[in-house]
Amino acid sequence: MGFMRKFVYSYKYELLGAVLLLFGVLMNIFPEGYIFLGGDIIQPINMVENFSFYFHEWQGRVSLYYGIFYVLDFLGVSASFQLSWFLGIFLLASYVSFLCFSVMVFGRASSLIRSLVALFYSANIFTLSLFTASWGYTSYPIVYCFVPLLTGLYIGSIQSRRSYLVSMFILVSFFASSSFGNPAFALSLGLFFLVLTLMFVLTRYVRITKFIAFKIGLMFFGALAVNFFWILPMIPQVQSGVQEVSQSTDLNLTEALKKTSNKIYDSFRLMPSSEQSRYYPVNFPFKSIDWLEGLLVLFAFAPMFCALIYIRRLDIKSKDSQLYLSFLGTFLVFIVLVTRAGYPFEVLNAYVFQLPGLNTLRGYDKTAILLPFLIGSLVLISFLTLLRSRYSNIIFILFFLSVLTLAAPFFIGGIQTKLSYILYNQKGKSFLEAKQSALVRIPEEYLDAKSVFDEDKESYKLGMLPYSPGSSVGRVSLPEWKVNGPHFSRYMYQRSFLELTEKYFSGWKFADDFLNSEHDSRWIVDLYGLLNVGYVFYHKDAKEDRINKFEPVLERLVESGMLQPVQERSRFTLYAVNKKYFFPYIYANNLEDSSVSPNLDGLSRQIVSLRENMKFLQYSKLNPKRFEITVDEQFTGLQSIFLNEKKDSLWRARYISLSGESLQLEEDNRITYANAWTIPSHIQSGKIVISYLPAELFFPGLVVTLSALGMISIGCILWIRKYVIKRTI
Amino acid sequence: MKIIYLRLMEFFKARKIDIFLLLIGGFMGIYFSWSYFEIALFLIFLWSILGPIKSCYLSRVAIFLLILIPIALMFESRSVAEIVSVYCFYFLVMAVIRAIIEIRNEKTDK
Repeated sequence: MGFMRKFVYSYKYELLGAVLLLFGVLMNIFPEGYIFLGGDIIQPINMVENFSFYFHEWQGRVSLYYGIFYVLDFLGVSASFQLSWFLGIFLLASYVSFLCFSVMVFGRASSLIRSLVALFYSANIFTLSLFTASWGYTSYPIVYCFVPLLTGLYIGSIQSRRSYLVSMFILVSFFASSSFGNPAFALSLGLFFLVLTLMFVLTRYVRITKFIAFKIGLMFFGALAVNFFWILPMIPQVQSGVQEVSQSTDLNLTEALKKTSNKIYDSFRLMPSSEQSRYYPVNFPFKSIDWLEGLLVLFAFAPMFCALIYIRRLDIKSKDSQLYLSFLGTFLVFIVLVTRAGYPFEVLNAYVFQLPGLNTLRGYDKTAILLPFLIGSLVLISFLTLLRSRYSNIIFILFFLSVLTLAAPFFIGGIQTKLSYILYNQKGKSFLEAKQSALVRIPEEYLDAKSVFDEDKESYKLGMLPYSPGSSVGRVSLPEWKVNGPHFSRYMYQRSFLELTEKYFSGWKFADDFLNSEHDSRWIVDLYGLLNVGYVFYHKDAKEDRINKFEPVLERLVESGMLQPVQERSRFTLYAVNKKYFFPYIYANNLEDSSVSPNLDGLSRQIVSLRENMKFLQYSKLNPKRFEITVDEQFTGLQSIFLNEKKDSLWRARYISLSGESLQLEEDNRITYANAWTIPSHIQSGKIVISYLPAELFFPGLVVTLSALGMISIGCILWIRKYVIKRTI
Repeated sequence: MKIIYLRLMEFFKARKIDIFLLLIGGFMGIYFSWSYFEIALFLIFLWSILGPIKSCYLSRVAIFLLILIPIALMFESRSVAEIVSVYCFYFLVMAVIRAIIEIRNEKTDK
């Protein structure tokens, strides 16, 4: 009891901050029965069933973070309550991380200052924007929680002789990999450390001796090694991505940079310039006190003012000044990057973002995610000098009030129910009354469809009709239950969904033609069958005009027997695609040329010809990214083998003879609707293995990662034996 | 008047190279069609190194400009706020560069 009392007394400010954040989590408990589905994001649901999909789809990159949600799902925690975990983990982890940073770098800082700035780092306009939008409910921004801890360990490693800090840095960088589902965040973090190190050298905060250079090298290569399990699979994906980007007409880097440009004054107050009206405090939902809105927009500069307090008092002899200048220099570099194609860096950044890899940083959040930490560390140093000032208490109180008001929705609730960026033009409405919301309740009758899919064990995709697109690529609109986001079927039924906005044929968005064409619409089932769609949801909850237009077409499709009703509910009818039209997941044919022209003229005729010459193949699924087909007499006369997945040059097919000789099958690039390879005429017996190259590289990468982690563990044990146990003895 | 003239002459004689560099900077601005304000800012930047101007003065200008940004926004003048924030940024850059030079000179002197 005495120990507890002493602990609480010693860490009262730190604990108060944590309690405040927990209070914020409690104030923002998400309504039971609702899940997050909006923008480009659907929250990970049914993780016990979907974890394997996440693991294989992301080659293990997000497994550490989503492992937590696997456990929660396993323990029966509801999907709605899991949203609070996203919020709680993020807020508390970033708070603790900043506290650790301040202890490691500014050991003498008072608890009050440390807690105050850590609270700012955890709850500010930037973090609020993550959770009023959609990204907070994914693994991507979790790097934010690791930045202060990694920086503290980095500075500690190069400033002291404590070599265990190097190991800790490497270990933490392994856990930070949770956010590298998008590797641009890893690149951004690497760039941050590069600039910071350069600033350390310029300000002479660190003198690079051989020993320090060795330690920096060790941290770099160590972090690389523990992250090798995702870096290695990523290499072919990056190569292929770079090739695609260079050939793509869809992605215009200049346009993308312009769209995400940020004004310098907005970067100072941690606000995005693009679509600013969607975010708090510009999106201000409290009508009775709307006079406060303008004040808050101005008040947002307060942290930046506090950050610059110290600059007037720079004492060039002190280490703090050198550190301050290093952070300020890094901050200014990142301001340039966040400004992108905005004035006055449009010309400079047009070159910078052309550098290899840097085009992946075109999204605002990739570089802006580091600004709160840089401002926070500048504020921390500034406040340290204020301690001696007689105005210090007033400034601390004002800063605390600014933190509370600028991140008020965290503490009074409603980040998604009132302040969601989707509700921005529906002022005064809660998510229940709004036309669209990111919090949606999946109608229970959709659960009934699961029994149908569980019964039919074959590999197939799900499709939907009518074509009811949402506000952007990859989104569907189901206004009856307010959905404007990804289709939920992938996570509800563990079946792939045929995205209507994807280009399965080069340059042809068939869904557009389906919507506008006057052709006989029966081709859509021919096409769905070709693309391995086994079942089609006819959404009665789609946009009304789309339903009205589609009704007569549907009647024809059902009458002709192309679609067969399986389950009828008030919101949907589930149709099975007639098996006659269905192409399996893996098949072969004996045609010289199996290509299909990407237009409606003669489409059905071409598909019929493919169907007549198609041959089913028996295959075994080793995992979602590896299949084996036994080569026997069934292969006689066959020309091509097909994998009914969206075309991706990283899918490989290899023939392995009985004697173990291996032969890479040649890809047939004329075919764009599936992955296809030419079958060599001489093969007779053995097997064909189809695999996804990045998934194949995961295990060699994991070996490197585990070896590195093993070495760190051994190092730690030796260190404990050498120092801790000896000292105890 | 004569004293001022003499002092100026003395200054020009002593800082011939620096003034020559400033002139080059000015011509560069004209060549690249910068605005007068931009040329002036570039000359301040050059003088902050050549002069030199102490980092604390440069940072004070930066803070002053930072105060102007919310005021400009208060009057709904976003374009002014944008320009002021750019100049604030420039002065911060100058202050950092100048402070780094000061640190390095200090350590060299030691």
